[in-house]
Amino acid sequence: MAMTTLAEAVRDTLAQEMRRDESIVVMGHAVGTMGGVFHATEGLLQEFGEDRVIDMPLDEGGVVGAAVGMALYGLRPVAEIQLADFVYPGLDQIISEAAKLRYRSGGQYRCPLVVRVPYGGGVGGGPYQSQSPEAFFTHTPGLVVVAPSNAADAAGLLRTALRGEDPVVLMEPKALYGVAAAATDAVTDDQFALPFGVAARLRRGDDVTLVAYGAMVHPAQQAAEQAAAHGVEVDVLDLRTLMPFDIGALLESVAKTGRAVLVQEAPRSCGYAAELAAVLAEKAIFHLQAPVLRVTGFDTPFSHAAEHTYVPDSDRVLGAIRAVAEF
Amino acid sequence: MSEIQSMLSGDVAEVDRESLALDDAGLARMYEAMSTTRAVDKRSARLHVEGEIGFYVASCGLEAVSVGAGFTLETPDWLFPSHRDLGMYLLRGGSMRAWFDQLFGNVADLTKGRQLPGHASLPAGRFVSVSGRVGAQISQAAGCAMAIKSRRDKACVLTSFGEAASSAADFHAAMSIAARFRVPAVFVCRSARRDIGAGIGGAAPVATRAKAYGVSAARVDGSDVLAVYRAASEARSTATEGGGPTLIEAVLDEAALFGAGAPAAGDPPSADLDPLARLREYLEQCGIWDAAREDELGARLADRIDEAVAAARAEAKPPAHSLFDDVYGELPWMLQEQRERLVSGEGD
Repeated sequence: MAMTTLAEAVRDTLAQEMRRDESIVVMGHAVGTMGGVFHATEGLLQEFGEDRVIDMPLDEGGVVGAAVGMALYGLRPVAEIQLADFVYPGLDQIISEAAKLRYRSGGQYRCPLVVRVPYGGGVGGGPYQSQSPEAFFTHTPGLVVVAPSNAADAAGLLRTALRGEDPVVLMEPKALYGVAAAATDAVTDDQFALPFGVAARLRRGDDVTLVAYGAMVHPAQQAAEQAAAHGVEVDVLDLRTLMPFDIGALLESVAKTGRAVLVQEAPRSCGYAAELAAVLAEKAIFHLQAPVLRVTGFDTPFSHAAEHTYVPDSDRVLGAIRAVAEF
Repeated sequence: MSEIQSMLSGDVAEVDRESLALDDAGLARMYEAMSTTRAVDKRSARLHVEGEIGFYVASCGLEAVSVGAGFTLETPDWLFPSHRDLGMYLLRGGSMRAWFDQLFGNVADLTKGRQLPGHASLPAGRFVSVSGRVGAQISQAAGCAMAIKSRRDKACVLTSFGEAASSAADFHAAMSIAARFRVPAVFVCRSARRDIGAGIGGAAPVATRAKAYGVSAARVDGSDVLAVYRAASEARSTATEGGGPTLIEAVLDEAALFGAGAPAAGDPPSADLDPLARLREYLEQCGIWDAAREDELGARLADRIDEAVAAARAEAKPPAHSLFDDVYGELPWMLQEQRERLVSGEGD
């Protein structure tokens, strides 16, 4: 069967859903004629025309603000931010407008839009091409935040977003757009959708729970394989939805293993993994047999030269697995 | 810089009635809408000053803008208001009762007590929920207008904002979008009267800046409701006929513009700058209005407002657990958990 990359899965799902629902429009800087900086909207302009694939002026605040106005009118906009590092001018419209419109109107308005945010390092970028700002979104009531680790999950989560009623931030791991490790069998079923809030168990083990999402799922899986060679069996959870996350899967796994390692690419302090650690402290304290460890980026801006030092790799994840296993 | 257009010069012979699609009854309705707006606004401001409600941003003195522009809208048009657009709220079908329910944030408030007084929301009137951040609605209006255009709907979007918002990034984003896609939008900006050619903070006037983006612009006397109405009518026609966006700069005396922001506002500007006094003088000259009608309207408004305030005041506050509604389409587990703990009194 033909394989599909993550970028192709995003594009194919957009095309399938746009054929089904004519209220879906794709918008952003260079999404039309150029097909998107990572080719995730390639060919859409030719098929759907410029009313539905819209090259916007370069201003993320304007892109998201316009998307909010479209969503209120009844369209379902998919706004592409070229790189997560550039999303900040659009944060006000995401955080204070899209995420709050239903709430502040007492449920009278809704704002179903999708903001696609290519995030993370590993592509030779510097501090403005590599950031992982998911915690800004997960700390905002009203937003659903998802981070797929492979092509099929990207397709399934995007489809659910396009059929839902909440604003969704789709964190797309840009390092995985074209790589074989994240490619899957082509998603030919145009009804394939993954529910939000359901993690995937990628590997079953009784010794250590390892939680990752997005790009970090891959070093996590490698580390789990290496750990097995050392006799440590790791339960690997791919969270897929960061908000609201799969609390059931997390607690069930830790009840069994008593040990947890949490992996995120973003800076360490006050990051997303800190929330998972806090929830384990509140709800699983009597199961825990070792400190909960985090493997993360550093509390520094991203550095071009130090990219591979900064982004957690399987060695660092393995080190944490061994530390909790041997505690 | 273009002239500031006005119609109500004080001399009835100078008013070009032919340029307005308003008969005598229409003019009387316009005056009643302005009077209603002022009366409701004054009572709202008083409720704040007397400590009955939270912070309230008044709009006394700005009635010519909200009513003059709002009067041009048709049913399918959308409105992205600021928090000085009480006049438009009432014109779009908002009731006094619903307004005061929102001010009190009571259980009958359709917005469930979530926002500060005056941040209304009225989907039936396509009056979009008011944001607390100045300028946020301007780029949204441009996007909504893009949607109208792409669907070939016969409608326009009107958004209103104060001059301060013309320094915000949203304004510039909206101008680029509006010009690039030639959207059916009418931008109404309330600005302060200054020396010729000067805008806020030393910038060019907002109308000049709009034109630089390729958006048509007109400057009108912001306390002259007929001038605002005529300019907005033309802008709406242009928009819905595919002629693209227009910005209307409604120029106001600084006292009217900035006095309105003070919570204690309620004193109208001097008669020559008071939009109500100016229209009333004209209507009296035309024999459309007189002292008896004025007295009758005043008494009727006072009764209706008293009734609405009393009813709104008597309602209970929303139940605490309603805090958790409407965050998401469905209540996720963490909100369910927090709600249960709050309701049971279990604590954190």
